[in-house]
Amino acid sequence: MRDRVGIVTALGVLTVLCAIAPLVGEFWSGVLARCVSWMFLAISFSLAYSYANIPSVAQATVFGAGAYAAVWATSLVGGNMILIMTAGAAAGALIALVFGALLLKMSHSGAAIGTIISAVTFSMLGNAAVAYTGGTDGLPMPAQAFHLLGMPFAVGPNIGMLLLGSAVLAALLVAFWLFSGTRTWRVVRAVQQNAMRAQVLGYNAAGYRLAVFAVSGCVAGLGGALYALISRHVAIEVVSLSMSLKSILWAAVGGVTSIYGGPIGVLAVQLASELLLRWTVRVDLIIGLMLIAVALWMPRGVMGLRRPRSSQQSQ
Amino acid sequence: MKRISRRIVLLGSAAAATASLVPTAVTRVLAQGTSGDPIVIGHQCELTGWDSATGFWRDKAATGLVDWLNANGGIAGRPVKLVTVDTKSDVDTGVNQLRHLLIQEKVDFVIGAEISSIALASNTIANENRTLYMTMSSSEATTGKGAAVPYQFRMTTNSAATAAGAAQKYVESIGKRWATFFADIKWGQSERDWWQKGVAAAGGEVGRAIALPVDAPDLLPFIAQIDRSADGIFIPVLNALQAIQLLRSSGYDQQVVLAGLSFSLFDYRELGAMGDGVFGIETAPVALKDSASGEMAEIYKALGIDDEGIHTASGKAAGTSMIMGIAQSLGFVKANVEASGWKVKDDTAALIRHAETVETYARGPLFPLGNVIVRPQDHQAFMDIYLLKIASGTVGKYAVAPKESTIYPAEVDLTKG
Amino acid sequence: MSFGAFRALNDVSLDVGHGEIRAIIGPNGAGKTTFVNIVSGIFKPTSGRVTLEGRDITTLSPQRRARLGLARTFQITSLFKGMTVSEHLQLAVRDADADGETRRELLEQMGLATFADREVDTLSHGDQRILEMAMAMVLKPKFLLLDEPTAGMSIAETDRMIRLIIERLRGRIGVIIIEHDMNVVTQTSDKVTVLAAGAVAASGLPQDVLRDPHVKEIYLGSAANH
Repeated sequence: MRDRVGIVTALGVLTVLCAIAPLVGEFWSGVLARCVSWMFLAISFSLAYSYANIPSVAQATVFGAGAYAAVWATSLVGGNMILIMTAGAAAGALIALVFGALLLKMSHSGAAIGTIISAVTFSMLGNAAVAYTGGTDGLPMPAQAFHLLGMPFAVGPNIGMLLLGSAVLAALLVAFWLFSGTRTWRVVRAVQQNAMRAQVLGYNAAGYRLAVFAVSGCVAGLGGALYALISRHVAIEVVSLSMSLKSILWAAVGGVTSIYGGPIGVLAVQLASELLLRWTVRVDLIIGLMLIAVALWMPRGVMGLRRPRSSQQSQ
Repeated sequence: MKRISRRIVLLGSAAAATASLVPTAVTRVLAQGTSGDPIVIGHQCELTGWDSATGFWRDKAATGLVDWLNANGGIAGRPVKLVTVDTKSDVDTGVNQLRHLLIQEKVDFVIGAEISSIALASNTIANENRTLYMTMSSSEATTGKGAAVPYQFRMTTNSAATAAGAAQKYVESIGKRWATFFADIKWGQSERDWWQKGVAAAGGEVGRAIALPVDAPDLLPFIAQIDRSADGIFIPVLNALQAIQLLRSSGYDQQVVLAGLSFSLFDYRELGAMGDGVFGIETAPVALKDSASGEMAEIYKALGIDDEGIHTASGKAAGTSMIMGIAQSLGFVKANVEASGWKVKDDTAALIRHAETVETYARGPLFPLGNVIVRPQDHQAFMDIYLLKIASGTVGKYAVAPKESTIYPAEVDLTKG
Repeated sequence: MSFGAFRALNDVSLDVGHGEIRAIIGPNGAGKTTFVNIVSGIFKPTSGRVTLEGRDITTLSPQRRARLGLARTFQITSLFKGMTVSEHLQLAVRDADADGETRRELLEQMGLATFADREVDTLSHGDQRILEMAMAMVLKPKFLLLDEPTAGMSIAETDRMIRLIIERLRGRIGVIIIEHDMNVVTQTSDKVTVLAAGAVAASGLPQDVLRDPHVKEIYLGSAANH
């Protein structure tokens, strides 16, 4: 039940990113570092959508909560990066728990609409609460002596953050891979496929969905914290609906039913955007056409290109 | 918290009189042509996205004025190369594009974004890269505490300055009782607060301010809450055109004052008859007759804008404040490169030290509407503010708030760091 | 039980004893599946009570009822794609996985042992229905609800199911079986209850009920309407 091809592909992609970073130079290392932080967001959408059965359009809100928590935590605890990332992950999990508790009382389509309302509401709140969020101007990451496990660490869009982000993501993916072979994960999949059936087998379907959604929030929050450390500035845009839509696009391109597809989706869309920007201002139009093509001819994304009934097909 | 004193301003004016000789001499020498490696100026511009309406004018101004510079001797005899990138009105793209300019294009100077979040996220990066960043953001926070950085200057105005300068004039001419209808985002809130301070300082009062939530699909319920007994309504909202139309159709016949630089967001002629009684706060008038400036006429010519302020190619009424911001930013770079002996990027620190000693930039080709003073403490420029009024379908000069009236306390002192 | 203004079940009262197999029959729309859904906790009744061995379980969630020993199968096969037969039984036993021997035995007895490691999507319809039964039975429930267990089955598969019910359930636990196939009803059930328009129309021994002219009329009327 463990997706060997998926984990190998995802780890391979991360390894290649880290290996080429010194060769592609400072600019592209920064671009890739930011992409890695967004991979957490794409993965969190896949988790919420495919395993908690919540088509969440509010994942960027959760990601943003992690990013803001990282900035606030830095002001409070200084440059301890473990604490900062923990704060981001905890904030994401907490927000997701609150959202999830509400969303699970709604139908599937109702939950989708609910997440849109949540995203818009939080965006409006963020805009109004300027003292805490900096509003549209955003909040800068306080200048601190950042350190990781006692070693000084330079934050920003650099190779160091790319390596750190990739390492954390790789650890997360490996942990997920290991977990996907357990009985608990089998229950998660059962609940996802047919919650009522799982309930009459004695499982608390709502509890499992909420737990998975909280984990997806934790992943998004952790990504948000990394994003804040890379960007060193968090604006309300990060929590916007359009950011959530981006996460859906990334997940769709990579393959929304596999969490290993997220990293590929982010790279495909963001690197294409970055390169196209050098040639045209009609980037969004081209990306839009690309996505229509993906939807038509690769409905299961890049990860769906594998043999449909291989033993590695799904987690 | 230092203010520019009256004495400094007077001294600055005297210095400006002397400095005004320089551009003439330089122009004469440079007219002979340019040589050497180009000076590369990056332009981080909102070409697309929600702020592309103002980005259109900054792009037109930067492109046209760099061409004009090259046709008139360049900067210090060297040609100028402009590299424009699109922020897509988005922070992440804007920051990435700035890094592209700094790292890949290795630009010497940057004219920055107008959107404050992009500008705030960018100035730190430019500062680390030791590249001069001429911010185009009109959020006063950009040069405030926690955001001001040594490698950033602002040669356009901001919310605090426009409110400080304009409020007094409008209180005197329109009335003492004001209502505010503001976008509930940082910019709108900041405009609201500065306007309130300015009105209070002028002896007026602002009643209940009505917040317009971001993305509100319907403005009418919010407009209906505006105090009908107010003498004037101040509206810092992004969709000003729609707001004015709804105000008028809802029976509000008060004078309406748009927030600073709003006339770059839309073409005032779209208001039609509803535009009568609408005022703006800009750094330049639209029609040439209102500025009576040969230098402005030269800029209009370079940019393909007619005497009435209409851009011939697009048919749009010129976003003059955007054009002024770009012209003065280029003027700042040109004046300081030439005066400090800047040759390569490593000389930028020395250029900044020099710039901090220049308090006034005299009227000239790139400072077409008069002297501009720059406060060394926070690197903020102050210039005359043009109060514009729409009447009979045309926007014209209503009054001028002198630059001295726009000065507000600085929050930082970069000269000490 | 009401859905808005529509009253799906009205004053339906059933007492099924330990070891008894009770068939519920009735035309389409009579409220049979609604009844099973109420008993298993998927629907909450607007009034009335559900008890299991004397304990009131009306307000309990489906999972709590399952944990108290109430099992059920579904009218439409409800297995989990991508999982093997063996994994389905592991799911069904929840945390009592230690009893692997029971599962293996059960698979043998149900004729599914050779398919243990096959994904359920590759099984025949009949084997899928048998697996549903096995999942319901593996934890030795106190009471079992079978919602049309032979739906879509061939004659041979139906006979296999009938044998399973007789051999493995009769006299052991309480069972309610919703069925359309009168052959299954007569062979497996101790008693039959007929539902029509959400109410009990008849109840008694299978041979008596199925001969009842009123019941025949209900079915014939229903057939005429279809």
